[in-house]
Amino acid sequence: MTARPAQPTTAPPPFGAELRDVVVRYRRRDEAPALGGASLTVRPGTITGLLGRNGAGKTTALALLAGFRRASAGQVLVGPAGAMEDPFENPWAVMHTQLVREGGDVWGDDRAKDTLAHYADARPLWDGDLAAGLLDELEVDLRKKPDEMSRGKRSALGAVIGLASRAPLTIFDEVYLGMDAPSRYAFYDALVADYAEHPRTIVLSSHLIDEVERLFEDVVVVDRGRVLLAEPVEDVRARGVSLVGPADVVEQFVDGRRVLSRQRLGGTAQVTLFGAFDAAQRRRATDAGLELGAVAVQDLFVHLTRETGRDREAQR
Amino acid sequence: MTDLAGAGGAPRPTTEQARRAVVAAHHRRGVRATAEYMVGATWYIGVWFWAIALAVGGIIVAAQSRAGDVDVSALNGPAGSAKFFLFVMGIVLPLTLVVVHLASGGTRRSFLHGTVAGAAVVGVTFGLVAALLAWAERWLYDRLGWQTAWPHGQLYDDGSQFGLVLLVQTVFCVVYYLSGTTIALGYYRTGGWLGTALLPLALVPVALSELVLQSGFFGEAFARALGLDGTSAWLGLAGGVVAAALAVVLLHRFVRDVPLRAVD
Repeated sequence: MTARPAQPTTAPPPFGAELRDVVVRYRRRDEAPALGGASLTVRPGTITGLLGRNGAGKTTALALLAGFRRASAGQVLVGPAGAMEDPFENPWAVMHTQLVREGGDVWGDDRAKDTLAHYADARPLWDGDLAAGLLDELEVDLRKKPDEMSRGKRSALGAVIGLASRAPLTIFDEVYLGMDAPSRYAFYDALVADYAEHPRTIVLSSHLIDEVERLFEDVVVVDRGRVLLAEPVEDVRARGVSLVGPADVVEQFVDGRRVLSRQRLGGTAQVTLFGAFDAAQRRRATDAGLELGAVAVQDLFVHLTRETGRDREAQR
Repeated sequence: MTDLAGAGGAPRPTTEQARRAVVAAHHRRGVRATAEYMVGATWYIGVWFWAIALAVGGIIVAAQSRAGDVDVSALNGPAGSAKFFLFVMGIVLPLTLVVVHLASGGTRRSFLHGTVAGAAVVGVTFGLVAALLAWAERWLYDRLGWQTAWPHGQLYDDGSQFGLVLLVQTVFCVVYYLSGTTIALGYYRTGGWLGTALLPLALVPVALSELVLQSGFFGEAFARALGLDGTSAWLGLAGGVVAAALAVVLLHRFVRDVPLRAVD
């Protein structure tokens, strides 16, 4: 047997990604397309959170970026800044893009080590040492068949594939479903450590927003096939404000604003308000003895996606 | 187009050249991995197929010799059914492979090339085993003085025509394997109803190969009905190659833009 073609050793710069007015219909007569004119930009070299309710179009958007399917209309681009290309059947783009879906896209009937050997051979920047260390940490037995593994272990195998691929665009779509909390946190830590050491672009799609929002630099919120917002996480957090202090004082500052969440313990209250506070309002609140904080991404996400749902109901 | 490296003046690959080389190497890896998977997985089970075929042949010979009169080929049936085994393997294997292949950065193009290469290797190796068994049976029967007739008209008379048996069985195996793959991907991309509606189209290469290679009940009768039963062996083989090429074209139509399904 002849030697396999040599793998390149230098990594291209981190990839960015763009959707421009993208429409995806699974059936021609679908009234509600999976994506209906979605536009978003993923900046190269960032960790971007892709958030959305079930059926919002997240998985479809990610499948487009990885060249898993074609858009019905619009433009899909991935690649280094200034050299972005359509990924569909584009070997350069797809060899540097790793999408890990729930379940991992593995051979269920073969031992896990066979799948891993395939990815190691196929992925030009594969790091075998990283894979071995993570498998050990996440306690994944490579002698087992993925179909015989628990859901969490199978997810962990997918997570390892995603990290060890070192792809300039690495995408995790709900990859940690079924993983227990220690495994999830081990995965997050490994992700951040490896990202710091080998900068690349990472897109995380998750429903566990509270858990992963600390990782995000940018956030994209998708709802019913459209992009509601795509911006740096600090801008997202600045879309609202959290106030903590004496309940009666807090209520004075609510003053007709939209309340995203409200908690009360004895005489102390915490409210999360939609809408930014300007400098004067912040000073007044601080002077009144209130503590100001940023809004949690999850609160804002719930608010935004509920609001569009209500808008649509009203339009009907 | 090359850049010249400063002082030494030695040609240095441009970024575009380097990229082309990396992409070409990646394509070769994808083709090779696909072909190896197809060949390895087929033979992994294929060993059992041939073991069973031999066992069935042995039982037939034993039963006939006990009855005192061996006059039927014991291996023509089992060995000739290799194409049906490969048809099933062609249906089963690509569905597990195509997802992992694309998810690991492969393209549909490298999947197609690897599948065709794998089908060629599987076809030749299965054809070789079939021809060897037919030849060995003929040799054994001749030594024992047994006379047999092939049950149905074919391009060859018996296993002594080793080369012709090899070519005919190879073409059959390649066509059936690729048609099975086409059917599997047809169902994968279009679903149950349309996949079923497309079955006749995917089976056209199979029907053509049966017709020109005049095999079994169907092929022989069909060839006779169309007045093709007198076709020369080489013309028949040429028709078989056309059937294989048609199978490749159909597979390409099904694979070239197949979307990966969402995970259930």
